[in-house]
Amino acid sequence: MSMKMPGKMMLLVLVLLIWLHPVASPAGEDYALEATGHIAGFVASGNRMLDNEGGVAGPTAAVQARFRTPAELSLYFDGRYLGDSSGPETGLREAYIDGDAGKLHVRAGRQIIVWGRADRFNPTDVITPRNYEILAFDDDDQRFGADGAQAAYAVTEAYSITALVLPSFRSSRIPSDALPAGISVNSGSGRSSPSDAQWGIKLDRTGETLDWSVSYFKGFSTLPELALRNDAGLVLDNRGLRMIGADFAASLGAWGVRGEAAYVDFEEQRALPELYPHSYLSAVLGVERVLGQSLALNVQWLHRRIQDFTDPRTIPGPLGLIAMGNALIHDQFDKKQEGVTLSIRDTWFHDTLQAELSGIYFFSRRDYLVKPQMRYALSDRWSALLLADLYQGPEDSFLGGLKKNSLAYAELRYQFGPARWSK
Amino acid sequence: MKRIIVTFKHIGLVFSSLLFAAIPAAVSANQFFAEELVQKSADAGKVAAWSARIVMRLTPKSGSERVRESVISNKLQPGGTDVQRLVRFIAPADIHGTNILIHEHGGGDDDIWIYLPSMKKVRRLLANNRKDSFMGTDFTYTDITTPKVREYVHTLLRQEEVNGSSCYVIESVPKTEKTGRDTGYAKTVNWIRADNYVRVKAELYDLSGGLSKAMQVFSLKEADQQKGKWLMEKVLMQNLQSGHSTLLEFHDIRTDKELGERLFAPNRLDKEQ
Repeated sequence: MSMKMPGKMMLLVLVLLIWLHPVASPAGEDYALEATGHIAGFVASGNRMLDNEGGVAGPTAAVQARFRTPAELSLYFDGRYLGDSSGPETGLREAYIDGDAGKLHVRAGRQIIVWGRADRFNPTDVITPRNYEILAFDDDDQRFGADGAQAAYAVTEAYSITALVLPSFRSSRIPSDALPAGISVNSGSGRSSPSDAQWGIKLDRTGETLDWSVSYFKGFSTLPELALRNDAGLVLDNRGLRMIGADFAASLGAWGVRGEAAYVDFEEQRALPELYPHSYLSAVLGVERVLGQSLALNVQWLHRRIQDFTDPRTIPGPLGLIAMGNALIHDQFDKKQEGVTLSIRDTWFHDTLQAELSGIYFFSRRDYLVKPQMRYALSDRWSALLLADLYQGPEDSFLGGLKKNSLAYAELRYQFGPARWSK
Repeated sequence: MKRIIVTFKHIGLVFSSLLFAAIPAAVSANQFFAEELVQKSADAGKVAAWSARIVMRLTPKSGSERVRESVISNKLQPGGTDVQRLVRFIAPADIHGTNILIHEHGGGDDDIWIYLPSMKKVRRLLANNRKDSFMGTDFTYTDITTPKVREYVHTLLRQEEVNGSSCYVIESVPKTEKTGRDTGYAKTVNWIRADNYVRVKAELYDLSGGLSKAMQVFSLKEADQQKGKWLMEKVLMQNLQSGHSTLLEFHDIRTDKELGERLFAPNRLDKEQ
């Protein structure tokens, strides 16, 4: 994720150029560069490192730029800088080239790939990683790209087939304090040999009345697991997996219905399999409805069933710590997990003020997350963002294990662009 | 020659409307005639294919103006009756890259999808969200899409001039409670120009029956002289209750640009075009 100085300089130069350059007309151009972004300052009562270190504050910046050519090819770039007191983080989230060749759309380079039609809780979203150490207003800002290529072929206007190949692997980043006390790990596996290439395929239908897709992915779990290896001791390792999934979305009059399910099969069998995450079936079914003028209500039911489950709490000694660590990282404390998500969203003053109250509740361990969020547009450029996260539950539960992530967050953001240069 | 033809048409329409108004038993005939006018008005805006850059000026009762900019592409679906519409937002930066695709269905619910760049996925919107504000403007999805003529009972009220043009004044009331709920309007009163059937003024009543919004078209562009197709260049929607208003300005209107079917394919909404 880290980027060397030239990358940071490039980001800074782009920010300055966009700031200074006026918007020009797009008419009659052959080549064009278009960019947007923001700079912001934030203050928070905690961080995402699960270390109880207290409040953090700092600047952030992000730039998204696209360079278009007359040959239906374009280059896209998304970079950011996060400068909180736990250390600066600079990253090139995406950098790819994409273009059309007849009915084929190809995208190659570093890219974020998101599958799934359910809201926020997507069982088929197993392809590109997240940095869980990043504190951001929008959870999607934790995503970062993987290096590879995907091609989407439009069979008809409604049906398309997407194939993707990711020659190298990038793991999600989890805070080291997510691991149980007393556990220290060596660096994880690289997963960059040609035989480690990941691939996937999806048939998608987006058209009148009903949208759906079926998908298959063979790769590695973006979430690492604590693994005992003869050559390296205890490491964070990403195990191979196969995912077969499906999703749908339909609008039935006043109701929106969405569903998504995936079976994730961990391929490699390790010695002492009871210590490690197990294959699972995960499903989401939800409805949404707009009440009154603009109050949007969304409720989803969550289900997960772990195959060959072993309760990590029954494993004694140091091995039990490894099992508990893996259960926390992969949310595998119970054979069967049922839960519900709720989101209530509304806007006021012509979208100037947007607010959402969302939450997750798991029935088996009674752990939950409550998340109020608010965004107020002071002008077309300036906005104020407020967020709170409240995690609660027993220590041996997924959301209870993330209690230290509870915090309040405030950000003042200045958005710039779009700036255009064309020739 | 054209003027003469138009005049004869007018005489016919005026005569018919007077006749229908004079005979109480023929109220349904009045409604039939009014529906025909509203249908002609809807058809007058159905240009085969066109695109434009829209500047949306949002003005509160007090406070500073906010400006949104987008590029809109429209094309009649195969069959030539329903419209497909793609709106790509350019500015301000926080909505840059947001794309909305609407496939209208005259006989049923529209299909609406939105692509939000922060989520990186295409999301289907509720079919009945026609009363929702269109991206924070004073226009709702009902206001920006082609009217579903058969969902209403239309009544010709009178004829009067608007900015020097003779207009039919037609009241449109939803046939069902559901249509009222979905659109957010208990009724609309529309001023449809007699010479080209373009709706140039409207009053919109909320579900409690109060006059809530007023729409006025300031400038028109003839898009297809032979077929009698027109596009709006400048239209204002005022919220009479809050004092907020939105002015839509259509710039760089093009009717000669080829808009391929793939542009309106929902599976292309997340692709750069």
